[in-house]
This record gives sequence, C-alpha cells and structure tokens, in this order.
Amino acid sequence: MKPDARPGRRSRVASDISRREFLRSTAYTATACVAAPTVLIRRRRKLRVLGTHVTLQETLRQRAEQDLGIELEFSTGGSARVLHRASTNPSSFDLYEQWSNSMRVLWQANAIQPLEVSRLRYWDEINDLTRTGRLTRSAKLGAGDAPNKLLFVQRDGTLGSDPTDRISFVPYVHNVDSFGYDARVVPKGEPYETESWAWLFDPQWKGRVAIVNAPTIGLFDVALAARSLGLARFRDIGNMTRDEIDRLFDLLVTLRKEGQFRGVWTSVPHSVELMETGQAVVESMFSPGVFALRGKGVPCVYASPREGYRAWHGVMCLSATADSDTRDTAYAYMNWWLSGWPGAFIARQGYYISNPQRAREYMTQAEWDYWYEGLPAATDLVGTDGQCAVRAGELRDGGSYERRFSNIAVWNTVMPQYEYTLSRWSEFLSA
Amino acid sequence: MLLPERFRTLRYKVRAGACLLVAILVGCGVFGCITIATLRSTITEAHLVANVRTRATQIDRDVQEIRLHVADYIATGHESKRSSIREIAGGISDEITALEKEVDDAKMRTLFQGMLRHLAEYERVFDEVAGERGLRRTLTAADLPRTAATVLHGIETLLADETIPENVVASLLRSARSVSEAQQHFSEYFVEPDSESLKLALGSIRAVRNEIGGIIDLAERLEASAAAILDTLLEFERIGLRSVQATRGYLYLVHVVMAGEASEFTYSSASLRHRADVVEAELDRELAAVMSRTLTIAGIGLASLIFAILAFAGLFTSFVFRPIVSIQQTFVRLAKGETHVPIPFMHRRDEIGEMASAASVFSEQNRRTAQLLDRYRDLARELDAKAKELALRNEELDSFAYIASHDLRSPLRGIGQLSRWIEEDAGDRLPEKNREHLIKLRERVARLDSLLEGLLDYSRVGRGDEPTESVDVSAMVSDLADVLDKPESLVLEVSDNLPVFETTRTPFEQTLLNLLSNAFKYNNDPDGGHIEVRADDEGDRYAFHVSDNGPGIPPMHHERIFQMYQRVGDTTVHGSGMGLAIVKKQIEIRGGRIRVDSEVGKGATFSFTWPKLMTTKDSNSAETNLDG
Repeated sequence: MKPDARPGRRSRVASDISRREFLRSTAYTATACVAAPTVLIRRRRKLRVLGTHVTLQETLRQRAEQDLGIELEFSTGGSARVLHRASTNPSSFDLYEQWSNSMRVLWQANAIQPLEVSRLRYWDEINDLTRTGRLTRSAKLGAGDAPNKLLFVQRDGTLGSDPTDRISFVPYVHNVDSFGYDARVVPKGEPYETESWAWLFDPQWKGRVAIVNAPTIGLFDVALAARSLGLARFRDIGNMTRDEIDRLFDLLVTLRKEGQFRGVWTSVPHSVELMETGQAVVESMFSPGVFALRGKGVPCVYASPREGYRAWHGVMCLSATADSDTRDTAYAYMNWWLSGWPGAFIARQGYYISNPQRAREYMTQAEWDYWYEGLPAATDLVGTDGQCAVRAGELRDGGSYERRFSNIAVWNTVMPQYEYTLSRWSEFLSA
Repeated sequence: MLLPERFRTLRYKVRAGACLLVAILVGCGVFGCITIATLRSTITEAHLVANVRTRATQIDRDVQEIRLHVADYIATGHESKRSSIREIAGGISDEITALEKEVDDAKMRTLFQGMLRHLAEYERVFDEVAGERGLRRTLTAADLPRTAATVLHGIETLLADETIPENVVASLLRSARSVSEAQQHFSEYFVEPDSESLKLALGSIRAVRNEIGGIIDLAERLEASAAAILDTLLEFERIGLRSVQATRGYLYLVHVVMAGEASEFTYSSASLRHRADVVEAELDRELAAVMSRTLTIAGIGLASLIFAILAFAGLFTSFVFRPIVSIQQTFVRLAKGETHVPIPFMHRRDEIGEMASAASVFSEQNRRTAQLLDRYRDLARELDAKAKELALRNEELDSFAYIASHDLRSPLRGIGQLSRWIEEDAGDRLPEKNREHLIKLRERVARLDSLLEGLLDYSRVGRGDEPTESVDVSAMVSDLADVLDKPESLVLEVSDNLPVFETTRTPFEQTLLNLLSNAFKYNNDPDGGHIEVRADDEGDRYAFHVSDNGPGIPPMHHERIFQMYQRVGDTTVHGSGMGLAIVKKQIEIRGGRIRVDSEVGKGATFSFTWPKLMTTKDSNSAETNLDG
C-alpha cells in the first residue's frame, strides 16, 4: 500500500467534515425563494495569512483551498519581519502564523484578538505540552515563555497559564531545535551524553561555527553554550538580566574577534549553504535544514544536547481587525490545521502537531514510528517533496517525541531585555 | 624498415635535418611566446588581484562609514545622512560591479555577487528603517502628545465641574498624574528603549483606566464623559504601543537584519581578501613554476638545438662532406688517368651513391681508355713498322719503277730503232702486211715508252731536295698557257690575287701545268671555252682553283681520275693517265689536298692547297704526329 493511500482517503472525509462545518457557519448563504428553485450563493472567502515558510507552504495552501473552498493568500518572511509587520499593522493580515515568542509583543500591541476555544473542534485533543508546558509529568520544564504561559487570556486581559475559555493562539506546529554538525568533520557524539551546546565554542571548529541571526533564538544557543562551559551563569536563562546579557555578549564579542564564528545565517537555505559548502561545520539548525543537507548527501547530525533543547511552539493568531466573516473562515482554517492531514504532512518535515493522534491516522506505521516514536525507520520514508527523506533503518536524532520534549532547556522567548539584546547583538555582529 | 626511395636521398635527409632544426627553433619560439603570454597573463592577473585586495579594503572602509552614517541617522534622523548612505552604497555597488567584471576567478565572482546581494538587502532594509523611524517620529512627536493632551483635556473638563464629589476629583487627579507618567515613561522608552519603561507606561495607562472606570461607579452621570476619556486613553495606548513597535522594528532592522547583512558583507569582503591572498600565492607559485618550467624547457630546447646542430653537422660531415671530399679525390685521381682507383660509397643509394656511380663510370672509362691507349700504341707501333715497311716498299717500288721505267726505256727505244732498221733494210721487200705490223710495233713501243715516262715522272716526284725560289703564280700561268699553246678560242681568266710566294718551282709548275693542260685539252667548246685560275689565302697556305666550263666529270669518277693510268672522258685526247696521279702526289707530299667539284655538263673545278712555307712531307711525319 502506498504510504499516502490511507491519508488520501481520510483526507476526503476530513475535508467533507470541515466543509460541512464551514457551510454550517457562514461561508455559504442559502437564499430560498418560494416560486423558484433553491439557489446556493457561495461567497468565496479569502484569508490573508502572514507567517514563515515553516507553515506557509504551497502544498498546504492548495490542500486547504481544496478542502475548505476558500482562497488563501500567503505572505512569508523572516520571523522578525513578520512579527514586526503583524504588530504594527494588524490590518495587513487575517491570520498570523508564527512562534510563541512573538505572543507577548502581539498581545501587547493589541494586534490580535482572543479565540473562543468552543469554536475549535479539536481543542480537547490538544496535548499537555501546550496546556502545561510539559509533555509528561516527568519532563523538564523549559525556561522562558513556555506556550502554556502565553496561551490563556486571563480575566485581566493579560496572558497566563490559568485555563480560560479564551486563548491567544491555536496551538499546532512545534519542535525542538539544537545545533547541527557535519559528521564528516566533527566526530559523532553521544546524544544527550556528549553532544553539547558547548561545541559552538569549541576552538576545534574555530571559524566554522554559525549562529542563527535572531536574538530571541540564537541568543539562547550561545547562552546555553556559555553556561555549559561555565563561562556564564544565569538566574533565569529565559529572562536574563542586563548584567548577564553584558557578560554573555562580552564573551561573544571576544570569541568573534578571535574568529570563532563564521557568522550568522538568516534563512534555512542560508544555513544549508553554509554547511554544504564547508563554511560551517557546527551551527544553529532548524529541522528542514538538517533534512535538506542529508538530501544533498551531507551527513548532518541534529544534535541532542545534554543541556537540553531550545524549544519553540507555533502559534496561529487572529488579527485584531478581523471581522465576523473573516473570523468564521479563520476558524475553519484553524480547525483544518488540526484535522489530521496537515499534522501528518508537517510530520514528514520533522515537525510535531499539538494533537498528534489525529495526525497519526494519516501516517503510515513506519512514519509514525520514525517521526514520533523514535524507532528505526522500517522502510524508506518519503518527505513532502517526494524525495526520500529517511532511509530504512535510520533513527531520528534525539529519539521519540516524548524524549525530545522531555529535554527542553529553554523556549524561544522575547525577554524583557529584548531591546537591549538588540543593540548588543549588533555589537556582536560588528565585532 | 624499407623507406621509399625518395626518403633515401641526401636532399631529403638534408631537408629533413633542416626542417628538424627549424622545428626545434620554431618550437622554442612558440614556447617562448606562450611563456611570455603566460607570464604576462599571470602578472596582469596578479596586479588585478592586488588591486582587488586594495579596493576590497577600501570597500570595507566605505561599509564602516555607511554603518557610522546609519548610526548617526538613527540618532539624529538627518536626511543628509540618508543621502550620504545612498551615495556611498551606490559607489560600493559600482565598484563591486566593476571588479566582478574584471576578475576571472569564479570564487571571487561568487563573493562579489554575494556582496552585491547583501548590499542591496542592506539598502532595502535601510529604507524600511527610515520608514519606521519616520513613522515613530510622527507618532512620538505629534500623535502621542496630542492624544495625551486630549485625555488630559477630558480629565480637566471633568475637574472643571465643581459639583463632582471629592473622591472623584481625587481619582481624576490621580488619573491625570498617571497619564503624565505614562507619557513620561513612553518618552523614556523612546530615549532608551527598555521594556521596563514600557511596562511602567502600560501600568500607568492601566491605572488611569481603573481610575476612570471607578469614576463611573461613583458617579453614573459622568459615564459618558468617562467613556470618552477611556476611548481617548485607548487611542493613546495604541499610539504608544505602535510607537514602541516602530522603535523595536527599526532597532531590529538596524541591529539584527542590517547588522547581519553587514556582517555577511564584511565576511565576503574578508573572504575576498583571503581569496586574493590565496590567488596571489597561487599566482606566485604559478609564476615560479612557469619560470622554472621555462628555464628547464629553454635549457632542454637549447641543449636539444645544440645537440641537433652538432648531430646534424656531424652527420653532414660524415654522410655528405667527407664522402664528397673522398669522391672528389677519387675524381682527381681518375682525372689523372688512374685506372685502379677504389670507388667509395658505392653502396649508398643517395646522391653520394650516384656520384660514386658516376666516378665508377669515369673509372671504367679510364680503364677502357687505358686499354684503348695500349691498343693504340700497339697499333701505332705496328703502323709505324708497317709505314716503315711500306716506305721501304715504296722506295723499293719507286726505285724499281724508276729503274724499270728508266732501264726499260733504252731497250724499248732499241726495239723501236730495230723496227725502223728492219723496215729500212727490207725496203720494198717487206710486205705491206709486215710493214703495217712494224708500224703498229712502233706505235706500241711509243705507247709503252709513254707509259714508262709517266711512271718515271711519278716515281721522280719527291725525289731529291729542290731549292725554293720566288714564284709569281700569275706569270707562271701565262707562261704555261704559252707553253701549252692555248687555243685562241679559249679564254683564260687569271685572278688578280694570285700570289707571289717562295716555293719549289718545278713541282708547283708541274701541278699547274697538268691542271691547265687538262683544262685546255678537254674543253670541247670551240667558241665559249673559259678557264679561270684564282687563289685564296688560307693562312699558312694558299688554295688554288682551276675551273673550266668543259664537259665536266661524273661524280662517280672523282676519285678515279687521281689514280694512276686512269682516264675518263674523251679517250682520243692524248694522255698517259698519270697526270692527275702525279699532281695528287706532288700536292699531298707537301701536305696539301686536292679535290674536284664537277658535274656532267657544268665544267669542273680542281682545287688544291699549297703551303706558304715549303716543308716536304716525308713518310715519317705521320708517326711523329701520332707520337706527339
């Protein structure tokens, strides 16, 4: 049986449900005339979605349009760009798809509006990671803004972890990040044992270390490295003080002047290029970059640092300016995202969905075992581009979903000292 | 291996050798040209690379200047800084574009393209920065103070109502203070962006909102006014947050995005300089390698050339010069007439071989010539012996002829006399028949006497040394015409150029006499007889010609008439048949020649040569000449 045969069949069922639900709301308006046959006048709705390439993919757009009968307009950009655009011009989008670390800015800027959990069909299936910050009770609670801290709209209008019937975002895509390394050059380490963020500062790889050019992300990578080496201490790594930031950046500037870093990368393709061309052998990495490199024959290992991962959580938010019709369409799209097929789709890129059991119905056993269970791939696994992404017998770096998300060091966070980190980041880049 | 015949020739080998030398020279020349071109290209490239490094350093300085201008612009907002940034960035872009076109190195071109991309992105983001900064300026300088003033004005309006309770007044006053505090915190944020200031500003706004909300609870009649204040307060908060986002936005763009692009640009620039160092080092190595290679190959080429020249010279000497000298010496020996000369290089199949073959032909000719000479000497000796024997025989014959003719004439005359005596003695008793017989006897005796006289004359030719004297040929001809009793009808034409010269008179006269006699005798034209005597000076001899217009002599008799006792033509004419034989002997014994040119009916011309200096040709002269 072809891997996608079952998902395809179920996809039609899911889309039927979604569309039926959608029709039941307001996307279609029925006008009945006594003397005339019934005529359905379909008002095609259009959603302007602002986000990054992680979730704004053409395949997803076409599939959603097909399933929902809506028109989707995707606007992609870098994380910071889209956050800036969303926070300063909420009328420029209907839906915003990004990371949880952007929530405080967006909420504070009144750029988004609360969502009613009652309108989210699969809300009850959302797992504990989003609701509590821990996938399991024994899991490590990561520092910084865990998604649960930003999820619920409190009665005073702030965001908090106390459950309410209004939420700030739809929890969906999430993952843990670490650094990747070129196993042709860097000796392969032991996951969770010897693999360490400290490798970013290892003089062995001097001049061949790259960091993602995003202070809310890359800063934690270097902070974890500094802490691992005992070069820096943080009272709360997810909320650094100005002194802690100064010491960290003093260290970074020194290292940069010593030539430790190749530089920073600004996009996944850029990160791929750096390692593919040998300019970097250890670098901050996103999951698609790792698989892209492997597809190019570069044995990139996605490290499982003993200090824990840097986790991120995708958020889907509704613009503060969205009207009633747009809200209806937006809810349909949100529910579609949690209906299973999209979760299975993004699983093949290494991402997780907040209600994985529904996505499992659209995955083969081999896919589920590899991507979620951390078991060896029973067969070659095809990626979303149709190319072989995983060879039979391969194991996912870091193991299962549960194990990986039980080792979170910090969540991507916009810290209170965000503005200060920007200016210091500039110093780091200019050093 | 068998070579085609044309490849064995010396000419081909010499040409091949010359071509080889020329090829080596051309090869050296071509290699030299290539080397020079390579060196020129390498040096040009090295200069270009050095130029790239220098200009890359300048570009780095320009980028740093841009960053300073950007920092100034962020701090001051002066539009002149934007213009400067634009101008410098444009200059950098032009510079990079020009450099990219100049260099051939693919890695450098990639770096240049990357720098252009980063620069373009840097400029694009800077436009966004400028936009955000302008927006923030508008918001913070105008919109935010105005809305704050509106909120305060609403509060002041309520405070102007003297009927409101004290606790409401107190709340309004606290609200006004909080609004000012919020404005103050926003200002602090804009001066030095810090989330704590923002937090305080938002806290103040929240405090105002709580105070105004409390007023509605305290005095319902103020609800409308309070709601208006809250709406304005919301606007104030929105503008404040928008300003904060604008600030964060351009801070992010400047400190992260632009700094990142600048970092990548600087890295590319550094990589470019590093690449320039690498390329320069490669070029240095290449230059050294080219020089080394050039020296090596030039040395090899020169050595090859010298070797080839020496080899060519050696081969030329060995295969051409020496053989030619050897063959030349062989030819010299052959020219000297040597017959037993070994011919070298006969085995060769080239021109030397052909020369050797020619020498062998000469050698063979020499050998044959020697054989012929040997044979000739044998024959000469044999001929000399024969000549001597013949001369002896001729002398004996002449002596015999002389003696015979001389001694026979006396008895013959006696016979004639006896016959007369018989006739006289017999008188009339002698029968007529016998008388006729006696007459015939005397005629035969006379005839025999004539023959003996001729023979005697012939044998006398050359006998005895006759002295020479001056002879006037013209006078001699006239005298002879008289002696011969030239008929009146004949015209004798004597040329004016007949010489007077020193010679033996009698033989010459006898010769002319015989020729004129024959001309007179055989000219049968009674009216138009014409005889001409003329002479030509032929250097050491004279050529005399006696021509007549007589009946002519058939060519078949031209040889015969010079033989003894041979007569042609009219036999009735008196003659012994010895005249021309004697003439021929007289002429030839003096080294001359006689011939007749005649055709029947066209007369005859007898031509003979007579030496100017008289030397009698004896029988030994031929042998002497042959030996000479």
